Amino acid sequence: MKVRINRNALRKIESSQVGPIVGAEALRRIKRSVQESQREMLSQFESHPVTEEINSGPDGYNESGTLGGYGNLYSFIGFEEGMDPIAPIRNLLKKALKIKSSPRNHKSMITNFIVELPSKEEIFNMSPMPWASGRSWAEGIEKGISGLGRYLNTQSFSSRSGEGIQTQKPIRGGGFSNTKYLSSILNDLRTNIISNIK
Amino acid sequence: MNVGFDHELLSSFYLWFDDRLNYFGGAYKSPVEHVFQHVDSVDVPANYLAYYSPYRQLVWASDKIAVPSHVTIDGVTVQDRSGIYIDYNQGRVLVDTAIFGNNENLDIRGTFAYKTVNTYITDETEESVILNSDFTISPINQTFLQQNGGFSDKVYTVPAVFLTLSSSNNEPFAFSGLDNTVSNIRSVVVADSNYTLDGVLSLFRDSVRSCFSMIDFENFPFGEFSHIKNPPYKYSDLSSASQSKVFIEEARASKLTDRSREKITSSKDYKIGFLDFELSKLRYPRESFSR
Repeated sequence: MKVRINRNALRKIESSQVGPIVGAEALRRIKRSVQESQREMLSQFESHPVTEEINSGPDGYNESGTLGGYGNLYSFIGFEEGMDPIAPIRNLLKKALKIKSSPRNHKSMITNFIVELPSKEEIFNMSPMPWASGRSWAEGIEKGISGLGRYLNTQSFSSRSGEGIQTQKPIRGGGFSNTKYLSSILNDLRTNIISNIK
Repeated sequence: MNVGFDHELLSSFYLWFDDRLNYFGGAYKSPVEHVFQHVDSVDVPANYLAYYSPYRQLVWASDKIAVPSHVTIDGVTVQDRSGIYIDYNQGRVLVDTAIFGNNENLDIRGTFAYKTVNTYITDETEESVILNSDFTISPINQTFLQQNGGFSDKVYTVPAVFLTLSSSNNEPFAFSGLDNTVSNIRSVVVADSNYTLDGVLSLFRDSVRSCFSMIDFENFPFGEFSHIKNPPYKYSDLSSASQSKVFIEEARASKLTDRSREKITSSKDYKIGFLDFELSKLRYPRESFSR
């Protein structure tokens, strides 16, 4: 006797039964991977020499090497004493990452998951230069920062950070060396999420 | 040293920037008669005398107005490169002493439009431009010479924009050695009013995600004395003849805060803003270095 199988109907049954089970397991794994990767990212961010140097305030030393060992980033960028420029970025990175599953097709057993990561633009908006709000100091770390903040931040200007350097005209050159900072941390986050799922 | 990619990029950007300011921003005054006066300045080539216009940069290219390439000397019309060079960048006429003699009292006149926002390429740092330079506001009723009484090479007439190529890197883009050369150009805008500053910032912020033409160095319109090599020069013709384009990935505008500006005592009368451009150019950077 010939048996005819209605493959479309079978696929429908399979996907309706298997989909929820596999989907739930996949979501659980992705969640775990995202949380683990986010923890790694936060630790990488906190221990980055740039973060540590800025956290040290106007008394810190140039452990990031961006200024050739001279002065520190906090004063160079021109933050006012008592400011915590790291906090807004930390808060953004700490926010729980959203995971979205795309609408499932009943004929398919494939489910797409989208993890919403913080973008460079969001971070740059959270890190305005103290003397030019449209510019980002976090972006400047990677692309170069003008030494203007250091000169604005002098004792003659009632020493905003308390450690500024008195300068008279003419000034010396900037001497800032760019270094990878948040873009590499975000790239690592992306890579870690994928590798942690496996 | 041979011309490199960065030289061509910055020059091309400069030409595009200047054209946008003039054509779309209308940052120039209509042609007026200039009476050029002799001033003994530091950067005049040997065997030449420099006669300066009361204003700084003259409009050197326009699709809207005629740009002359001649002046009159003691009533006689003299074409550019015929014993004189019209230095549009510095608003002056260089006169060959072998032809016109060592005469500092020539009556040199010409009808030129002049820029209300000057553009300079500089290799100085941002802070050096702002803190070490002397600025002279381009006045309406008083000429540059009357106000300043002379020249030095660190005096700039403002409103002005200072362009610097700050950093660049090659990012891998595709197989076969194709890279994306990302270049960051920074500019400091020094203006005499918020109106001008906002106008310049807005004009260039809106250039994001557009392209400009890469101009080969041999097609660069200026000669060694900032004269036009083959007049008349029109940026639109030069630009459309080039197939090579550069993409403006980002264009950010920002202003120096009022509080910070007040601290730069020497510049308290000026409004200062910044334009940060990120440019992308796909190219094979290693190709030209193979033997």
